[in-house]
Amino acid sequence: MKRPQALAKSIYLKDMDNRRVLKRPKKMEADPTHNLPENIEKALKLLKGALGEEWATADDAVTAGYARDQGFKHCMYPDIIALPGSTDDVAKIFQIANECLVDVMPYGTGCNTVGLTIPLFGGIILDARRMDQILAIDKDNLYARIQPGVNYCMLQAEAQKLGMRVANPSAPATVSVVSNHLFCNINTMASKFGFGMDNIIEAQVVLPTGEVLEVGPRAYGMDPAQVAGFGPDMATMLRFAMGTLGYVTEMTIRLYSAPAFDLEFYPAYPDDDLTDLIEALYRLARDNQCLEIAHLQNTFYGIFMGENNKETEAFVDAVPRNNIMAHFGGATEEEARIKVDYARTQVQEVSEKYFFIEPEMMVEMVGGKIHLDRWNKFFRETVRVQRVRGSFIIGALVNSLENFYEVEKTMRRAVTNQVGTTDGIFRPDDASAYFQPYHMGRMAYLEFDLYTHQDDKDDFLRAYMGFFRAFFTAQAMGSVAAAGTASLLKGLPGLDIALPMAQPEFANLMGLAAALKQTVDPNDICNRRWDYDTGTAKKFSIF
Amino acid sequence: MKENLTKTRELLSQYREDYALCSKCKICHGNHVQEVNHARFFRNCPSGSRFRYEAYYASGRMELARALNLKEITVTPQYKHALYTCMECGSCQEQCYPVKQIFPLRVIELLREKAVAEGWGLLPEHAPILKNLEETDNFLGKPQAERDKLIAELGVKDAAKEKCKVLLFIGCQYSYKPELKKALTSAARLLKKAKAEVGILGSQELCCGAPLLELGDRDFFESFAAENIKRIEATGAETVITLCAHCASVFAEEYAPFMNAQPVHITQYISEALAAGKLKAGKSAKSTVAWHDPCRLGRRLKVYDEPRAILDAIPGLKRVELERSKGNTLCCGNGGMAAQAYPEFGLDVAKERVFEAEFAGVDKIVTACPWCEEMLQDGIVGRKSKVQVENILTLLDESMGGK
Repeated sequence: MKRPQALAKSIYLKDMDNRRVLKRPKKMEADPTHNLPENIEKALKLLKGALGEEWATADDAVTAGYARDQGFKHCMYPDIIALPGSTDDVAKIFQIANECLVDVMPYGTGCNTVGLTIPLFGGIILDARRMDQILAIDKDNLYARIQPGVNYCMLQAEAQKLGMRVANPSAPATVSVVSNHLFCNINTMASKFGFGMDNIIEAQVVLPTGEVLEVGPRAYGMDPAQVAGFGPDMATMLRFAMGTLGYVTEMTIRLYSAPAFDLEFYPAYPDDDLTDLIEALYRLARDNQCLEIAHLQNTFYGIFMGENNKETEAFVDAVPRNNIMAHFGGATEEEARIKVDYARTQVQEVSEKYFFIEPEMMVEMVGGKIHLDRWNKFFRETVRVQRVRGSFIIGALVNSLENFYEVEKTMRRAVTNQVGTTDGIFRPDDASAYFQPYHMGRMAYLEFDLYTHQDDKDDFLRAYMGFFRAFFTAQAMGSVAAAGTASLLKGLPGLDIALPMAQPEFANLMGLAAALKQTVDPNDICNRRWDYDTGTAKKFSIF
Repeated sequence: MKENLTKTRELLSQYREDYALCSKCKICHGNHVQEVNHARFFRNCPSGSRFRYEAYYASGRMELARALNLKEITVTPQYKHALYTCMECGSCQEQCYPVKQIFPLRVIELLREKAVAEGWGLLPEHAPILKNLEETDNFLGKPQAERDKLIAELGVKDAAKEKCKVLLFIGCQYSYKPELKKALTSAARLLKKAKAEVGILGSQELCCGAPLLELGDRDFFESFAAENIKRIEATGAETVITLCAHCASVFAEEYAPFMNAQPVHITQYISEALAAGKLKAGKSAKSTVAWHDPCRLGRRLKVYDEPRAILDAIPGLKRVELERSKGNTLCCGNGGMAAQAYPEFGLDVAKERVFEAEFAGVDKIVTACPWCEEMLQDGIVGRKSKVQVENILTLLDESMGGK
């Protein structure tokens, strides 16, 4: 058969030639000390020697994969990608980076959504994917020791084999357990078990200087199952540090026993009013019988239940506006049933407007299209969020319980009545809240989301703008607690003034974070965000 | 050759939204999370699991497409390495499309087409395949005339000379490779027992063009497709049975809209014959077997149940599922023409699949794709494994006496 002469070639080349050529965003602004071209070259050579030829590269084909995430941040290319295989390798990378004054950007499994691992100034991306081993899993003492490349799906699978479970995050199953636990295991549904950071027993961290630091019981030469004992423990310094203070190469986290029997129940009511909902949730939480509990408004609910847009829409239209989902476990089915029945009476006592959706009814309501079993598994065992793109924008607030109702209402108003429009841009139920009571002396947790249609790409931008409006409206009410992201936010134009105004303690937090950062990272190479000399950030690091 | 003979020609840039909106959730790196029971078997992207850099997963290849189309980067040897180590197994798309409506596999296919069209694509290791196809009309470089001998050997009609209702499209591998002759003979025997009026094209059968599509040479593929369709139509066949999973996917996806004959894979045909009582399986020696879903038969054509039904019909066989099966199947290592350029990498993937079979405790991995059979056999040798690889047709045929 004779080869035809380039039939398609002309089509493709025409397409290429007509394309507008963008300026390649790799060019970082000139930096007098860090990431100098000659130092990058030297660092690459040293890294190849230290890690092996295969595991360090500056090839554009590879760096391109780390230049962008789903956030709106314009892509920025790193100079080098390094894949360490061990703690020693990580230490060597930091040593080389210090020697050459090249920045290092810690990277777990790369599921970040708001530019957190995009290298603002170039430098080395330290990718954990070769370090993906579950080093130990202890059924008797309920813990696992893992490397940073282990994701929730992998760990949950191994834990389940031994009758245990991991505290679930509200994140894709593919995210790094280590990263997500350090980032508070954000939005966890496992309210009974605290935040992810409460589940960290110990960690091994390579500091930006290349020194290896053990925190937790191991620092004292003790077993993870033992109480850490006297003296200070530096484990908490890693919380929310976002890789600014080093790189965690091993972590021991708590696991929990999985119940022999599971039951869910689904109280719901159609009113768009949260008063009775908050009371019911709080009662259930105080009773401490359920393993998982959350409130889900219908649009939020839909994105988890539906596997695609069609299913989601069917679900959103079919279920009531406000839903509680609680998961109960027991050694026997009867025990789980007793807990459910008791919880039912508690909810009914709060208000008679609650009704209880039976699982069969729920499947029927959405035309048999929903995989209820799979959803339940999401909820109680497996990491749940898979649908990320364009489906929601998270406005996560840690709020006081009493203030919750007003904040949610104000945010909704801000979103649906935007300036410059005669109509609400979003229907009221396009904005949706997810609420969870933390009852161990903590505040309530509110997540406020906007839902866009996944097939409508423009909708995403509208939601984004709406989210900001809602976010700052809520902040003006003094309700936003932007917890520990101080080391990231420091020096950002506007925010370093606005956040302390909303929350006076934030100024202290930023001061502490800055001092700690300068101590452990004297050359400012690890996830560099702001200049030590000026105290300001040149580049906006998130979103 | 006709322009736009098969699929409507698509451009990579038409998938701009797909690669621009990939959210890097990494769902494409592994299997469906609710179906993962062991950490090791979460991973399902052959190239990503081996080379680890982002560029070797679908999420990174989406960036390769984006960055190249925007001229942010130029093609480097590592770019080509990342592109041609993809086995096009479609595991990424299996995970991504249902939840994100993104087509990562299609983007990779079109990136390869772009590579060929712009002249920077393909690797020196691919040259013999193209040369063979140009000179001999089959990618193995064997004389076409040898295929004529099969008409007598199999005792089937010469479809080039006489009309037949059922055309058996044998494919290059089964036509020439001695180690596959047994499966081919079994296929013909089973079809005859099922009272199918079978013919083959002999030397008139050309390569289906699957290797060309996998390499991104769509123009050249269409030359083969046009000629094959013309010759198949001339036989008056109502059904075209393919033996190879790669042929099956090309027939179903590319040929079918342009011919009257209905393409089916042999496992579909045989399972229907078993269900209709036209065939009855005999007894097999006791063994534990697992079906290895070829990517192109399973994920692409969704032929999952038919081969399992065939195995279940054979008394004596105990069928178990591999940890990664059906939509989660792991490539055998021989997809996307990657192993032709990087044989060691292909072998690594095959060894992992054989490990999985050992883990499941099976005696035999059963499949119906010559590419898989070949690679899994290499994997067995590489691991010094006791597991055997067996063609499903041979297994059924032997249960019926093998005569």
